[in-house]
Amino acid sequence: MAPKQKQKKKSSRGKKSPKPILAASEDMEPVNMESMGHPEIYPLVLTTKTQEIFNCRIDEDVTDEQPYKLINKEDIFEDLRNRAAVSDFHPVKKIVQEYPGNELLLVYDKDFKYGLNFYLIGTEEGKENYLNRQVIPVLPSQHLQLLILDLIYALRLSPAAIGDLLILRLDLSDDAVHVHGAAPQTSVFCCCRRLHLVSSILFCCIACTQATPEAAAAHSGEAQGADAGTGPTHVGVAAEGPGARGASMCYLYCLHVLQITYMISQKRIEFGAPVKFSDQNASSVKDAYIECTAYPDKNFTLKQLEKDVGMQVIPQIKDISTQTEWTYPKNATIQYYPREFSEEEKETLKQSRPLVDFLNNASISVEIALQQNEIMNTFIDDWKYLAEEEGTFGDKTDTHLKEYQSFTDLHSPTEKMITCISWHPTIYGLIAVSVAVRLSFEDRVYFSGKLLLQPSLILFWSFSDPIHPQLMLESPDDIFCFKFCPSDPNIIAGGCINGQIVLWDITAHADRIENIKAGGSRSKKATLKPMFLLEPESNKEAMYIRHCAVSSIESGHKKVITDIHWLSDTFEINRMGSVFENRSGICCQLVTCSADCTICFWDIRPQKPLTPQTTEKKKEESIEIPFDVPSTFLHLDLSWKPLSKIRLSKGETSLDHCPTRISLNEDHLLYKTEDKTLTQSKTVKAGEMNPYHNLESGMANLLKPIDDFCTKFFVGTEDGEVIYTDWKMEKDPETGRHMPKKPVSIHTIHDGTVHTIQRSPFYNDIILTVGGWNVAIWKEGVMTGPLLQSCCAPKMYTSGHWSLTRPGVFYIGREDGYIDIWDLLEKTHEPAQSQNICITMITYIKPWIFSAKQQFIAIADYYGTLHILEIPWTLSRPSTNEMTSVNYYFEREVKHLEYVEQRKNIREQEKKEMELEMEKKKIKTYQKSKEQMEAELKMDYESYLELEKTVLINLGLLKVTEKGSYMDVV
Amino acid sequence: MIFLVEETLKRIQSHKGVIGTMVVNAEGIPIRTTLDNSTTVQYAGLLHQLTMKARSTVRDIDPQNDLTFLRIRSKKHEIMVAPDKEYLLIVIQNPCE
Repeated sequence: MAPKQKQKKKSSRGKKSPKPILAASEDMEPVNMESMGHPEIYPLVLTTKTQEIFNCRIDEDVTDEQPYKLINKEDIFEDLRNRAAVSDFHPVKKIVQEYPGNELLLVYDKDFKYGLNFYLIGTEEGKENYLNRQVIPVLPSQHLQLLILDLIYALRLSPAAIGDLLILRLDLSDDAVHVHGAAPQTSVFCCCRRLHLVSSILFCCIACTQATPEAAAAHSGEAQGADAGTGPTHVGVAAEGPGARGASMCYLYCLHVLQITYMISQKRIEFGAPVKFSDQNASSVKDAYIECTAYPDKNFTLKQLEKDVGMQVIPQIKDISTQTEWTYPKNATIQYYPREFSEEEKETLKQSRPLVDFLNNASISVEIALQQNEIMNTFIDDWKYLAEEEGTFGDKTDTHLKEYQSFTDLHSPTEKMITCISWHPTIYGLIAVSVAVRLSFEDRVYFSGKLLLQPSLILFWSFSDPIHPQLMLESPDDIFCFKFCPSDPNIIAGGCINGQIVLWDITAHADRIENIKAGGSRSKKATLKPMFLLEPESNKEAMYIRHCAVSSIESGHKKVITDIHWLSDTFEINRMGSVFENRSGICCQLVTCSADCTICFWDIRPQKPLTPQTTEKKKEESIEIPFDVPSTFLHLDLSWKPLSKIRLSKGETSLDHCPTRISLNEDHLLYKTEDKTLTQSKTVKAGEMNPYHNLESGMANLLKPIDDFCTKFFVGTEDGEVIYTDWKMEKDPETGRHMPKKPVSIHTIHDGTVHTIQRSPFYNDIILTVGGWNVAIWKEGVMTGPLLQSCCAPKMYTSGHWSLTRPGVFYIGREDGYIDIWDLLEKTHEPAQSQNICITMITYIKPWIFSAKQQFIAIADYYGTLHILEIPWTLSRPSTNEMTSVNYYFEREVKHLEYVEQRKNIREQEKKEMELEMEKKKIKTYQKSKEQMEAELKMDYESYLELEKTVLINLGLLKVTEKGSYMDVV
Repeated sequence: MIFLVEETLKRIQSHKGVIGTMVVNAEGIPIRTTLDNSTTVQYAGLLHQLTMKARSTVRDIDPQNDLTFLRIRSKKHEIMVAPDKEYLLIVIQNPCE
């Protein structure tokens, strides 16, 4: 609701000077300033006379400050009538006539902007624009407003009427115009100048409301009424705007007061009284409140300049599935046979010309190639052989056995000796040792009561614990030989001094010793500590394992068992010694030899013709048997009888040979089939049924005989004989009883008890025998004598063993604690080297392959110490052709033996011949007569003469021609 | 003429270390052999293929070239193949013997 100011020219009363208006030529078109962009402006020339008539004299009525004047339309008409064509308004008569309003605006054109001294605004709009341009924005100041408010109050003007009131206060006291709060306004000046005479203070009140014209008229009337009371001169001009703005009413009130005295009074009681406020409904009273509605201010709207935007890329994933048809695999077989020619076709082809030609051509090149290969092996790797040479002859210092570990049983109260050693076939670093008291037979008998109190043991030593044995197998008496079963390493068979065979089953403790192995060998020290710090007691307790079966005392051996062997799982024998296929597929037969001159075969399976009586006996026994004994061989305990018994009779006398060692064809010297046994034991575990627990099942099968089996074996005796004999019985034609066959050969080579008789691990037919003071090597089938027989050593030999990896090497233990190492490739007449191991007799030697690069040899001595030594590289690794060269050596020896044998025959023959000749000669000389003698002499003489003659001829002393004469002379 | 064939083969067989000799036709069917039947069939079939492959290799490299002889040295034997248009002569020899 911007206030609109409208100033109206007030024509002063009495100043009106009507002038004759000349009739302007109607047809004359007024000149406007359309060319200059102002079509509403019509320039005029007003003469001085006209100026006087219209009160617009230059520099008097119209000045620079107030360059315009509003002229009444009627005045112009009057002037036009009075002066007609002379009138200065004549050119614009038409404009004036058509002009809608009452007043026209005449502007003094001082600068002759439009060419003449005045111009006339021809339209109401143009007049408005011009006047509005002149409007000065009035800035009501604080005190002016107050003053006006006072005035309004005094005039009892309704606040609504002066809602938009603009008041100028002009101080005109000293002829100068001071406008407070507003810039000088020319038009106001004009009227002020007029009012100057009568008033010193002029209030101009301009009210502009949006009221209707009627209301405005009422207002003006009210104002006039109010003014009349005070008697001021009041000039009110109400001018209506154009139609478009009919709603706006402009009033100009000029209060012309000569002397205005305001007396503002209040009641006495009200004076100084507290102001009373009371509630009032804001909506009921008009304008009781001013609403300040919120509107968006463009100055304070924030323009977004920055934006944080985040973005993340995600991988595009697509799930696609297809379904394919599955074709069933079908078993299909094709049988085909190679294309071949029939015999006739072959014959015809062989006779064809092209084949012959082809062969003639091709044979040449083939033969060249064949000959090349015969001459030289082109592809031989020289470097490989060079390296081998270096290896064999390289480090001479490394030929000695190195001490690795030693075990002694510290717990045993009496002094003991080691009688037998056996490495555990599957668990690495575990060795079993049988011990026996170190007493002579007499002493043993004497101390027998005492000896009964302490157990006879087989000790299991592990590399991981050098102090405590891992297991202790108890036996009724001292064990002199024992063997692990090749089919199941948890079964051990041993031979006692009293002639009993003992069986152990350590299956229940297998885990225990396996675990030792797992923790042991690698980190020796780590396991060693807890072993004897934490649980020595529990260890000891668990270690004693009772035997699970012993053989019958009555029907077994009578004396010490000197050797025991498991028969191979490939065959079994019956009472007659005939060989059959093994029914069980496991080792279940044993052979033992004893000092009571017998060799016994045993079967661990229950015997078929078991009488009810024995079963009863068995039952009784089973009650007696302690709890901790596995029932594997329950059926055998104390009732076990040998399958067959062989006596080696000496023939002429009633005495028998006393076997100390035996060697069968199939010997488990080397556990070459380790993998096999392992898998076997595993399958046993998998089957949850140990075959040894169910031995009867094997008996059900029928025996299948093996015909071409060598039933011959070697026996070493106490007297140093090596016997090659057969275990097969033969029927004695006279008595009808089964008698053992006569030995194939008996050789007395050794001058002491044979304690080692062993097949070579490389050649099945080569046997090493050691006994007394010498060593012999035999070849099976060559029974004329030993291939090699060493001369007598200064010290007695007590044990021996082949090397497991070198065919030409064997170790011999001596009674003075030395080990003789023989290398047949180096020397055959004496040991290649000897090394001291201990101070006492070596009782047993057993080598063992730990890995491809490490081998150990276990050496037991008479004082009960077990020495583990490491075999050096040179003694463990065979040279490239050792096998063949050693074999060649043996072959040579065989040939030599044959030759010796032949020579014997030849010599005998020769001897015979010579004797015959001698005999003949003797007879001849006897029978020769005298004549014969003479004739012979004559013959001799003649031959002499002949010789003499030829000599003479050769010497040239006699001429050929003289021959006849000479003859004649004779 | 058959004697000629036998004679040649005998001569070859008499060389040191010769294990077997066989004559095979262009299709790999044995004609004459000194080995047992199954071994011969195996050798003939396999070596025929190998020889054909070797020949095609040589010919592919140079069309004017041809395979004249094939010697295969193995750990145990040397196998010699003398190829021709229609026949193959295969000899197995143990050179180290």
